[in-house]
Amino acid sequence: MNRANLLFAALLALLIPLSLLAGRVWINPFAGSGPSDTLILMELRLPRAVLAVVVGAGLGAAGAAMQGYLRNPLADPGLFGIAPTAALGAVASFWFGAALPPALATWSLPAFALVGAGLAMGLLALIAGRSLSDGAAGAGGGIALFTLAGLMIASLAGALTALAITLSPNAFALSQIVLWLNGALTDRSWNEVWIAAPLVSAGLIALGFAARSLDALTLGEEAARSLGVDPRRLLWLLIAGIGLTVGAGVAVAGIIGFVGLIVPHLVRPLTDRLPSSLIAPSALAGACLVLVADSAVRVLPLVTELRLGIALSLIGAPFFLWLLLRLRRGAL
Amino acid sequence: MRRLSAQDLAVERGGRRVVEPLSADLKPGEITAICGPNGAGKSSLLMALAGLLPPAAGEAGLDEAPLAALPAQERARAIGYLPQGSDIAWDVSVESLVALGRHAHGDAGGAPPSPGTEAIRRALAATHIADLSQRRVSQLSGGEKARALLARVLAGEPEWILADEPLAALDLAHQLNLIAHFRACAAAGQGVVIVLHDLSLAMNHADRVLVLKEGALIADGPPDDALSPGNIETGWGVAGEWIGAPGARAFMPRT
Repeated sequence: MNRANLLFAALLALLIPLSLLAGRVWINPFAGSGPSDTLILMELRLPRAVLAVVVGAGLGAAGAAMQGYLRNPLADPGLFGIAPTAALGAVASFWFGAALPPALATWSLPAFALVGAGLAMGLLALIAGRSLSDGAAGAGGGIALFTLAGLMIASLAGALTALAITLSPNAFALSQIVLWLNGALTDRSWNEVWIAAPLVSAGLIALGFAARSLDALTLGEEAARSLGVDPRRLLWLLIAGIGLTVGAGVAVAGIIGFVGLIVPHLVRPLTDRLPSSLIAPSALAGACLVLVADSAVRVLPLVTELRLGIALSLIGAPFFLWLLLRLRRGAL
Repeated sequence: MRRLSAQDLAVERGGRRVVEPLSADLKPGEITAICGPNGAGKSSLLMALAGLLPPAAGEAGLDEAPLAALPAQERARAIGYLPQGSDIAWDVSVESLVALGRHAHGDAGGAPPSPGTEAIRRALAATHIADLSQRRVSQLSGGEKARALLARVLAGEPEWILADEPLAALDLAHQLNLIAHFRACAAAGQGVVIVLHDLSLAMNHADRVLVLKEGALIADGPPDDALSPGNIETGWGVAGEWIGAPGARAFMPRT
């Protein structure tokens, strides 16, 4: 347990109760609680807070792992193309979901999104098998090749999503799709928690197993192999870890950008800077960031709630720009 | 200590033959230098000897065991490989960097008298960077960084140390300093194989020199023989002669 872990765990322990009290209806913990307060807390705020923690933890850890894998502080878990593919699956559910019986309809969106994420993971694994059989033969550039393949998957899924939107059957479905694509945690229930929590946990475990190999990658691909790192095992662990954390996150919350990019930066100076020391605190810090952002959009005095995905992009894009400028000055 | 050998070893990269079939039996306790003009296949040969490139024909092996058949962990414990350049992705501390050398042993952490932490301490001491152990790598000079990267290899306590142009970016003093470290490793019984560009360093400090030209082994032997003016003219196309006393010789091209 290093100090970054302690710091963000303490912060999270502080933020969770605060987030439960904040919202359109403020709850005073010292006044006697009425039955409506209990309902708001247990059925609205608590699942939402837990979901924010789960989704944020997955995105933060995935970002830390991705930056470690690409040996680049500007890498984002989106580079694997998991999120756009999961979003494509979700958009497909707006098309086909209506045809399902109502009992299944509530599950159709996350299920379709998970199928989308699963397809992307399968495709990545297929590409990994091919690119690395050459990579092991010393063709080199295995990581770069693989990342470009991920980017292509992302842009293909993005194009198909755009197509599905333009061909949208009716205006209501269209607005639903567009709204959903900008991720949010509004009106989520325990159902979503039960979907996301096990999958994200499994993903975090996979990333944990990848951590030491990512450390060795600090010295470059060849040196890592000379240290006994199996590039194929590492890549499969990453596909599983990033696929599960990001895919499950999109399935329950839509697309939430920038968390995976920003969080490892905030955390890195507090750690030894090796990927293995970064993954756990990034998960904790990601949980804090999404929780704070989600509480903030809840209390902002706007007519409709600001979408969480939009809010994080509004913070994230300028931060990224600032980061680029700092990087140019070689300060990173 | 096991012998590292190549048996009719050939290497291909990107479908092109870069090392023609060659055989060499390397001995622990010696510094073997691989020399040759640019593009001669030196790095490829070194990587194949490190088990990082599969042979296109023949095999590289430790004693009787082909490297390709060794589990990656066992190969990693036996052969330390130092790639060209000093590419370190994250600004880690010197101690963490060196601890990466224990990756295949999995014992870098733990209380100080563990085998892993002892090996790291010895590696830091052997390369004279013990006092820099808490320094970040971005704060190191080129020479210090080269020593830290060598310490990373030493921390794994490999039987063989294979280094690709470890002296390339260093000034004269640091070159000699690093060569002294390699000599100490060889004296301790480890096998040392280094790719060298500087023929004078190879002549003065290697026990044995392999000369490659266009992937083919054109000379193999003690530096006096392998780097004879005749072989240098064949290999590099440069006529000249060695001047100076043994152990401090320099190659003087004829102009």
